[in-house]
Amino acid sequence: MRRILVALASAALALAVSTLGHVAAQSAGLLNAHQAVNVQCAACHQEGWHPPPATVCIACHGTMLDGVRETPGPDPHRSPHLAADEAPVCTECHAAHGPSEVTCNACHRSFRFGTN
Amino acid sequence: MVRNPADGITRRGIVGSVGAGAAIVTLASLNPAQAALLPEPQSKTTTDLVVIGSGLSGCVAALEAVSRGARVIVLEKAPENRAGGNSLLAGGGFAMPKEASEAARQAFVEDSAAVCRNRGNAEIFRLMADHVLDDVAWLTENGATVMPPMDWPPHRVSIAFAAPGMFQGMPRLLRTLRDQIVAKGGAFAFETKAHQLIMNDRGAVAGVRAVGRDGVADYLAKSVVIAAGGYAANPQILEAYSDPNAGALMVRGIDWATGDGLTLGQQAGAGLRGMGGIMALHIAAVDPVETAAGNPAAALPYCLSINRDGLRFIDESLGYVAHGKAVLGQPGQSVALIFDEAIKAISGPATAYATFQRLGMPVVEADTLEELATRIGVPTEPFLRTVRDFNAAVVGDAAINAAPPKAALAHKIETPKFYAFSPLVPGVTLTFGGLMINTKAQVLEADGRIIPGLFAAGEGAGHVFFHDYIGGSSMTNCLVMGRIAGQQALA
Repeated sequence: MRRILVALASAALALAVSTLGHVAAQSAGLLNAHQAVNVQCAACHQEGWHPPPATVCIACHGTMLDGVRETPGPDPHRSPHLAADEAPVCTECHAAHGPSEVTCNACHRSFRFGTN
Repeated sequence: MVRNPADGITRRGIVGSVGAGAAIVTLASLNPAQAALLPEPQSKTTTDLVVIGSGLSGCVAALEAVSRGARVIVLEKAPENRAGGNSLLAGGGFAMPKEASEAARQAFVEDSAAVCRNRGNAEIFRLMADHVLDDVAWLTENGATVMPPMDWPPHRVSIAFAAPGMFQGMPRLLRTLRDQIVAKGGAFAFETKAHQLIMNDRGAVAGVRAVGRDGVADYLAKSVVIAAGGYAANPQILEAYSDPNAGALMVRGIDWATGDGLTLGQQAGAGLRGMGGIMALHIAAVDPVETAAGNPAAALPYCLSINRDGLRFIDESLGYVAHGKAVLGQPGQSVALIFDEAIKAISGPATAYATFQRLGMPVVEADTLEELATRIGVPTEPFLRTVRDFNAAVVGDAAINAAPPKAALAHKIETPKFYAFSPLVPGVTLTFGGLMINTKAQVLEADGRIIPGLFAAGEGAGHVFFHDYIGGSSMTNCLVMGRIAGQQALA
């Protein structure tokens, strides 16, 4: 029985390691950037493990509605799809776990800027 | 189609029911390929209504049902940041009667039927005319912002765009609806693709077998609404039904609209209607890169469309779908839409011009018509003759004696500067064929029998349109029939 338990524990550990490895492999720069300044998981994931609401990102990063950003195209943070004072939903483009994506490109196939 | 295990059907029973000619089949006798098609689900969820698709019709059906107290789950195969289906790319206008009178409703129905060459769905046009004003008000009650209606020439209808404006408002409208569905207790399962409908012992659809991030998941429900959109991105369906060459057409809409709802419905015995030929495709001539917003639809009826030979080829006032299909037959399948300073001051062309400018799309400018011909790359003499002959034929609002004639919104091209949206090339925006439904959005078999528990709405249900449509009436169809589906699925 002990041998079986050890085997099960080893399997669980291997699974855990491989899962962690999987998360790490998926992680783009955003997770590393947050870890580098010691932002804990729970600081963003305040209500479960789904992507945090924009208010969580905005608390540290601001709304991105002020200033001028140099992008090879329109500033995606000040989209004409939104009201003048309406902040975009950060996690529609920026992902900490997995690749970020310029979702503008679903329609706007001429926009050439990238994201991280 | 799989049977609902909750109704006491055994796994062996499932195997027997799908294994053609198999009298007694056991799991042990299955080869690996067969067994892989009959997995045990990783999870089973019981709810009142499953909606397949997160576009406008799906969200409206879900919101209507959840507002009536039902438990609702929306399955969407795309990731959350791609929610919204083909509606996300829409201009976001709702075509509607000009006022809440029977005369205005009748005008909406008549003009819709005429644009569809009297082969559209008259019953659904009537439902759209009767319900759209109330349903747009219902959207605003649920937090959406819709702009005041405006005239939509040459048709006797109005159009109201989701705020803040044409080709701007749909992402926000859809997000508002999603938030409202969740706030009222509904749920979304993203990256979860419906693969099969589940049928109970009474022959009614009783759920969906889907594949999500965690494997196979069964969603058992009293009803299912298929709102999974059209098939513009499925070359197999296009080549089989539309044209052997249609698979090569540029896709303007989302590139994951692969007709999944049609496949699901057919597994349950549903009939299809309105699938045949180019008549079943919505085609528009648009900017070759900015294929969604690069559609100068609001300018087209006032402009002249010029082919590579420098000639007109269609009555531009017929609208952008008739125009898009006509471009398919022109040399190089590439045209230029020309206008002058006076036309540019009209609100429709001004809106289109501003959109092109804002998005960095090319608008050719020239001080003379000769220079314009050179810049759009057409032979000068035939082009100048085309413009001269057209200008001479303009009488009042029409150019009946032009070749080809222009029935309405005819303006001479004579005031510098001269402009062109060029080049414009044809692409498929959406598709018109779909699952057969009745006026209660119930899905029908080819012989007209109702499939209990199965409803459909939106782009992939009807069929509604044929050959062409009044711009904005596809959104109206999604709104009105989506809401009816959400109501009837709980009845």
